[in-house]
Amino acid sequence: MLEQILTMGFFTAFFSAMVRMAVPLIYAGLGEMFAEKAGILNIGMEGVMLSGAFCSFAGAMFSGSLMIGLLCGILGGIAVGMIHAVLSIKLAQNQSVSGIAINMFVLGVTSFFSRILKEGKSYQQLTTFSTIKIPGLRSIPLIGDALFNQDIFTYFLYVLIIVMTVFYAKTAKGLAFQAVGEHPRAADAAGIPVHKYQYIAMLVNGILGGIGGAYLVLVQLGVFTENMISGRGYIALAAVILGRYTPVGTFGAALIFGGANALQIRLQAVGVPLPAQALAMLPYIITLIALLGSIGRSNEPESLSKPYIRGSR
Amino acid sequence: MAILEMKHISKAFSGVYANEDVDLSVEKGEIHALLGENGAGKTTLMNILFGIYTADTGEIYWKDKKVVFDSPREAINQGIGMVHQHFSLVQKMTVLENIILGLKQDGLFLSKMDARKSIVELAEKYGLRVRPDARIRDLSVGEQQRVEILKALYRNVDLLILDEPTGVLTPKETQDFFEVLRKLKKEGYAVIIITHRMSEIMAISDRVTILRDGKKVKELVTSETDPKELSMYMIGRELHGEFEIQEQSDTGVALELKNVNIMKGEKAILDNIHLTVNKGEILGIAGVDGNGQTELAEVIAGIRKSTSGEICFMNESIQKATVKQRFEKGISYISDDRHADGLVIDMTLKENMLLKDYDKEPFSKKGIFNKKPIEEQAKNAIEKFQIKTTGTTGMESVVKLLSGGNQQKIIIAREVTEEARLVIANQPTRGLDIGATEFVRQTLMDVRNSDRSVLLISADLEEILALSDRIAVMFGGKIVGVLNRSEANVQKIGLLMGGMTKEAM
Repeated sequence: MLEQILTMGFFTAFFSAMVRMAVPLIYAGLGEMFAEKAGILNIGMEGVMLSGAFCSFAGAMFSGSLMIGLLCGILGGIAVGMIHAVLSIKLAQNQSVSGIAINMFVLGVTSFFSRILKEGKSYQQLTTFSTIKIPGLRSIPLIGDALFNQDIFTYFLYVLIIVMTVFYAKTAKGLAFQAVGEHPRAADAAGIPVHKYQYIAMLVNGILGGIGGAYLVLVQLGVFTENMISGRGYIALAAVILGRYTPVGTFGAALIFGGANALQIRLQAVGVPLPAQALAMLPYIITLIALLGSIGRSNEPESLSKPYIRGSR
Repeated sequence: MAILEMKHISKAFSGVYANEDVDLSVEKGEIHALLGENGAGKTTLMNILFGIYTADTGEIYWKDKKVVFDSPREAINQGIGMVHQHFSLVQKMTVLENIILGLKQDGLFLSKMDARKSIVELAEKYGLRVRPDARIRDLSVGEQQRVEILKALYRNVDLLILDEPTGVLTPKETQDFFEVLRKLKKEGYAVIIITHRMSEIMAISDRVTILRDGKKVKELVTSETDPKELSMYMIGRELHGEFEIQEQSDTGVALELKNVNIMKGEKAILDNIHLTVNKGEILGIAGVDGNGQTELAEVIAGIRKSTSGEICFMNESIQKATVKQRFEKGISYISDDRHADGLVIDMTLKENMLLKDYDKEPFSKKGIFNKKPIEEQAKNAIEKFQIKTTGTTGMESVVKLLSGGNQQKIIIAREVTEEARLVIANQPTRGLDIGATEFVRQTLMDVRNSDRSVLLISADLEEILALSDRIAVMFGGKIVGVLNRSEANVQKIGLLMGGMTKEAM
């Protein structure tokens, strides 16, 4: 058994699977981080991703184009994000309640429409986005395949993480977005339009969450199934906390969760004598352990999930 | 020539006037004090000027032009800056980042070098010592205030509004702060300072506008008035003078703390505290906020556990007694945070009066409430302490709708009972107007004069000096000195509060 696991081949395959499992979590995690740093907690990330997945599938199926599918997925994510934005910014409602309501609502809506969509038709499978090999780099042993034999979404992530890191560390706008989540009254007094920035943050949240959901359909599975996000939205929330609200940290945390998922699949493949259900718990157990480990070191924005109303005492 | 004219400003919140037909005029190079009790409408008036609220009626003329500010941003752009009572600083960011926050930048990236240079220059010019790269959460309150002022100056304001700026400063810091204000005045800045401390108005301001119940009652030139006249306009009647101090009878020790420590990790929050409070004594605890006073109060009341040491009450160790047992032995606690520990603000006055005795006869029997004595108690409290309730609801008034002074009276009515043998009063008059303050102080004095004890914690030195038989000063979790009434004065206490030891003086 152990000889089977401790091989080059096992690890190469494991790292590849880890990155693939992590990509949707990273997109969703970065989107969630952007919103939370501006003070909006979107527990409805699960719903955003689910909407992104469904809309991308429907769009790609009707148009026959993956790009149009992607666009529909993004719009689907934005639509759900905006529901949460209006509820929590304009109407100053409880953000946890709004997020949970959105998750249940989107689950119902997408399941309903997916049945209508599939009614009387045979099983449909989309051709997915293909991988692009990067010559040279992909030959690095162990991690070459994992990082440089992937799809366009994975490569775009590398750019996105660098852009977001620079945005927060070096730009005036980045500073302003953080101030909104830390101390909206101070931001307001400094002339930053608090609510406008929060809407923008939720727009980004919807776009990235939508991509995260669409990725599962357009790259990995080629098909939409009911409740296919199955908790990834919540794991993305955990990745933001474990990543201490930094882009690189969120990326790393998502890789850990992706790795846990990949590990259980690989272990099943080599035939570890444990029930599949027990192994499937692994990512969630690791999520819990990771969160326990980050107690007391939170970098949470001070005004997270507190609605800002000018002049209220 | 006035740089700012506010004319006939009125503003009502749900039908109640916060400002009614208020005028205010401020000149260039003037320090103008805005004086009034809590709820007199000072802050509302300034929030209107700063664009946080919009006035219902009235006009604002700024540099001879009629203006309406819809947001703080517009007010700042036009040259008006405001330092709020609770600072508007982002704790996790540095001083520099806070100052340049929200400003227009050339290009995409932050140019911190240029900003740093001009901030350091500004700071030196006005004596506003700050460290540009320190994080706000690591700064003292005085430093944070300097950052707030720099933030406004960096935005090229001509008028600076300061809301209760000295409430949190030590006497030394207050002196430095006044020095800064004088420099600003010299440079032609106009300054509006909101305060209710007479001594400060006399020391720093050129003119005073006095508000009462939302209306402007008088504008005075400071050099032509005195504190007595000011307070008369402010509260509409004359104040009692000094308290009558009865001879202290020697009746023994009520409370004794021996070697009490509280550790938080490596840090001592309370550091080897030895303290006695005698019967018939008010022991004052002076100190800048956050030097262990609240922890001291809580460890005596039993809300907080000490790491080591012993606490005795009436010659009996109460180390193991619960909060409730201590209360039953006669230890009452008036918390410094009314809303957090003192009251359940969504419940009614009647219910709040019952919080400590709800399970005792005659208020309840076998777990069932007895309506009559409960209402009796509430009625008595309202009468005895002259609690102003809202409208016709009386004892059924929800506490959060009452003013701060009346909320405090409810706590005092509940805590300062016949059975209370030691009253721990933590900032009992903070945020109260002069009338209510006087009442609270008299109540504490009555406790002392009936041979019971008071532990008075206050950041207000005038209060400490007026009431205390002995004064202990806390700094960094330690008691750095204990002074008798006869040897205590503001200078000595001020030095101890700033960390000087008694021997060094």
